[in-house]
Amino acid sequence: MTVASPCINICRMNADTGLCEGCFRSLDEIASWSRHGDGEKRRILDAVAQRRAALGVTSDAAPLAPTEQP
Amino acid sequence: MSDAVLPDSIRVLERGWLSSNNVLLFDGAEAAVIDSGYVSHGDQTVALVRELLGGRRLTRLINTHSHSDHIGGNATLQRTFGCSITVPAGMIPTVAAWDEDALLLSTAAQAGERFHADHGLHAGGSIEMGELVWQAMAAPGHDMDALVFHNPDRRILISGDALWRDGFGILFAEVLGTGDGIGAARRTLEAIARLPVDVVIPGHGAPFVEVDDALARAFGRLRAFEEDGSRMARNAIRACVTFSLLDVRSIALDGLAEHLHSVPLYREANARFLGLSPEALADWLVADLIRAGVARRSGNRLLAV
Repeated sequence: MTVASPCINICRMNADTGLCEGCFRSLDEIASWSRHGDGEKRRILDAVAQRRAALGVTSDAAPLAPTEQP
Repeated sequence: MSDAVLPDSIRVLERGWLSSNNVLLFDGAEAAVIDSGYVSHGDQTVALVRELLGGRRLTRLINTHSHSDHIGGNATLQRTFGCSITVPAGMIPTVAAWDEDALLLSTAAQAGERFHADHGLHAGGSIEMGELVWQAMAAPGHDMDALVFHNPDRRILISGDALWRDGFGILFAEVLGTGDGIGAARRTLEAIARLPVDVVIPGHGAPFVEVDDALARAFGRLRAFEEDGSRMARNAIRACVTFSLLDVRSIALDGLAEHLHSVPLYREANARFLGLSPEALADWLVADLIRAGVARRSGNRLLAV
């Protein structure tokens, strides 16, 4: 399984931080996500975790798929 | 697994479930985009598309089908970039009349912004995008007017919600009793299985190369739905309520049973396949969404996790 996108469907850029308010990625990190290998995706996820901590965000909302698994 | 390798002329914007993928295809100084995401994400969609355009001009927007997570950004993208909008030919009257029932907006309690379609694309036609020629194929099932786009040279399929890595979109016609959704979906999957395809760019999720496995899973799910309509109905209700929860983030539990009874999709799915009281349906749903980790309860509200 490939590294899952951290998108939680709150897709809105914050003008102050320059980050998405849902997944804490920059525009470039979102735009390029599907072209990155797993290593780079993990590096972005690590950076996201650090940003969340620095901004004092504690909830750990997870990406989800609203479909039934077969 | 191996990564899906796409030509440099194709870029995929992948987000979550509320917004479909947006596929950008570059032709020199011009670009086309397939599908536009959900209406509430429009500003970010514009910013992401602009980022990827890198100074190219967005001239065309093409839709795989007419659901809210694929057409929600149409109006915004057209206003911003001046692109034309091409929809599957079968969608033209529905879009022109902005029939919110047929677009499944009112039917499934979803939001959208009206737009004007400039062109209709017929199944069997071809369209050039990303320096490649794509065959438009009918892909009924999830949406009876849906198209998928196939390029036989590079063996790429842009599948919309007809085929995902794990499943396919809700078979609305089957759930609502308005058409043969299961039969149509099976014929669509069989047609896809006959195509030369190495990479699928789905409407949601990452592009993938495990085409045979995805088809096997999709056929398996179709069989399960055929054998047990209640499973299909529960899946449809669960998926659509989850989708709404992602949009509104929180739902009042007090009004949930009444909401499930007032929204046609939930009411029909229940009446046709489950036969539960609205209260029993609400109780099952809340327990199921919490069990699945999709939602949590806080006081008298259900919150998106």
